[in-house]
Amino acid sequence: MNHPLLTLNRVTKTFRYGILGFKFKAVDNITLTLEDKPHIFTIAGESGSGKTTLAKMILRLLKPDQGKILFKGVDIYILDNITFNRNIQPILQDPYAAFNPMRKVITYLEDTAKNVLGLKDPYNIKERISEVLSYVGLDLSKVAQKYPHEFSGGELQRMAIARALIPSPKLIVADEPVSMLDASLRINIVNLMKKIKDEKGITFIYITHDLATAYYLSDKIAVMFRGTIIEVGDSKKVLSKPLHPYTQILMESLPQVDPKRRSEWSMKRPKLGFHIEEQEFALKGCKFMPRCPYAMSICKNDPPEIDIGGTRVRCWLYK
Amino acid sequence: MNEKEMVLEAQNVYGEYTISPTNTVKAVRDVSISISKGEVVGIAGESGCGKSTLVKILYGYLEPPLTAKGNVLIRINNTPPVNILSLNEVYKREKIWWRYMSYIPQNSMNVLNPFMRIGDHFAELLKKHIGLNKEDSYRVAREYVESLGLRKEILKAFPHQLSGGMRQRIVLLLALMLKPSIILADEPTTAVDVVLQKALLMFLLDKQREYGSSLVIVTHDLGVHAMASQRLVVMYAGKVVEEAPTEIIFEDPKHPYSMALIESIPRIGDESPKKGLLGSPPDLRNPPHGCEFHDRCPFAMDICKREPPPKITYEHNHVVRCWLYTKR
Repeated sequence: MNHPLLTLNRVTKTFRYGILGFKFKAVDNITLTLEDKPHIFTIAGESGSGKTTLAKMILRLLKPDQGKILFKGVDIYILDNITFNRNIQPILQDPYAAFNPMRKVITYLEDTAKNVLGLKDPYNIKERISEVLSYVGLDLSKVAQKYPHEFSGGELQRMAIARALIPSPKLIVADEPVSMLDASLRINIVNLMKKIKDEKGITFIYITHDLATAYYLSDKIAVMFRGTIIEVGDSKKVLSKPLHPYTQILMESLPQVDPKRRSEWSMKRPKLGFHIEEQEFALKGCKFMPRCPYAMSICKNDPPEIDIGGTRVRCWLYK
Repeated sequence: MNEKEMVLEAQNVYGEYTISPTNTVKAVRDVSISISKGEVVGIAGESGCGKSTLVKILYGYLEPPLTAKGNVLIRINNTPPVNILSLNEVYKREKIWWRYMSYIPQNSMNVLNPFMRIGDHFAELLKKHIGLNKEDSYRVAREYVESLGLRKEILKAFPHQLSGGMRQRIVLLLALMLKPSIILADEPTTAVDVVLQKALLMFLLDKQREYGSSLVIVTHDLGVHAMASQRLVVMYAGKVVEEAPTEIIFEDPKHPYSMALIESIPRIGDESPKKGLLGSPPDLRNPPHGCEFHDRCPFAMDICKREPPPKITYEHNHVVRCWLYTKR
């Protein structure tokens, strides 16, 4: 009876370009397990890696073509809406796009309290909203009358987080929650997520391209490339000693926030591929092969998943 | 620091956006910066601090509702300096833009003409400024695009057929084509992947060195500044709050805002807890009295609310505007 919090079992999603265009797998046969203990799991990847598609499938916004997603051992498509929404909540990238500009933001919190948590008494609703708002550092009396444009980006993202907290979910899926915010405010939201994990015991799936916040915030990380997970393991380990050549190149390219390390950073030049994204998706075997400095002929076959000290890496180099 | 040859000097520049007959957004207020030959200057700050507006003014690109006051002096081939803000549009198009000074705007992946083939963008530029015919321009362009890892076939493509990163590369190539003396780049690598970001940044720096140009990089990303700029200008609420050689500002930031910016960034290998700033930047329709930063500043004093802070200069041209450093 000890099920993991979330299990992805050989999940695949195929998209098609145009009506007759070619098909490509945005998410290709992904298997992943999230333990049932509060932690922050990062899914990292560049644009076009399939990380948002994966998030949408976990949130039931897209149906996988193949494979199953299990929440505590139960297929998420068997769960009824209320149970699903009580357990899994989203936070989206652009808070200004997430809220209707013509609606007061507080009404979203009221709806969640009524429809998901099932509160009926207006007093209870108000009490619950006030509780989550003060938890994220906002004051109900100050935000009650405001429309989205009257908030700053950081405040609006706090509102989105407060809304997600109303039903006390087990899992929050946060898709690039801080990428639209300024640096000095970004860290506050990141710290807030950490606090929620520690104090409320909520697990986060943190989807991002920002590897520095992933290092700071998360316990585990999965690095995606063109629809596949190429490396998964402990965040600190993966990001400080990356194993997969792609993760290595990512870490080498990341600008260092220290001018003294400029010459070290400028030593290696990244090799840019001639391949456009669609062609990379269509490749057989390892999709990173055309850009990989260590490419061998065996890489034309699907790379095996190899366990190295707890980190699982998908690369022929380690066979 | 020895006096170097100045290529651009902005003196007491103001920029305002008119939003109604009685209301303006004072986006840039009393900014003076100078850029010398071959220098890489970074402009940092959060969204809404006026950094993009400043670059538009430096380029002399003033379209309503933006208006500017002050002097932006440029010196083309040892001629007496001219104020770009007083030049007419035709002169700027013929003599200055693209040739002497080029500008890579924000979201540059979306500035290409959707009805023109990529190659025709190059042909148009080369015809206007050098007088090359189409055939020759295509030949020049073909070699040129290959230098940034693009295939020559893409000259026949239309912009929508390319990925965002490829279009960004094309815009960068166009801006550098005529070897301009000054390159103004507004968030040139934002919205691209880190691998491409590094490639673009290194290409930009290579060309800058090769042509002996001066480069102004505007970005909120302090990592980019740490890797690219020699001197860093930090802006807040339309004003320059601190300016110093990049290494010095990272090591010893003086303005509380610069400190907060630098300290709030998580780094790989650094486990210490980080803190951000509270609040948000002021409304620039009615900028606050005194120091713009006072309501978010952890060290704010009484005087900060009343009077604008003085300019204090340290060695290595390290300039800060803050009341904390006055001797009393």
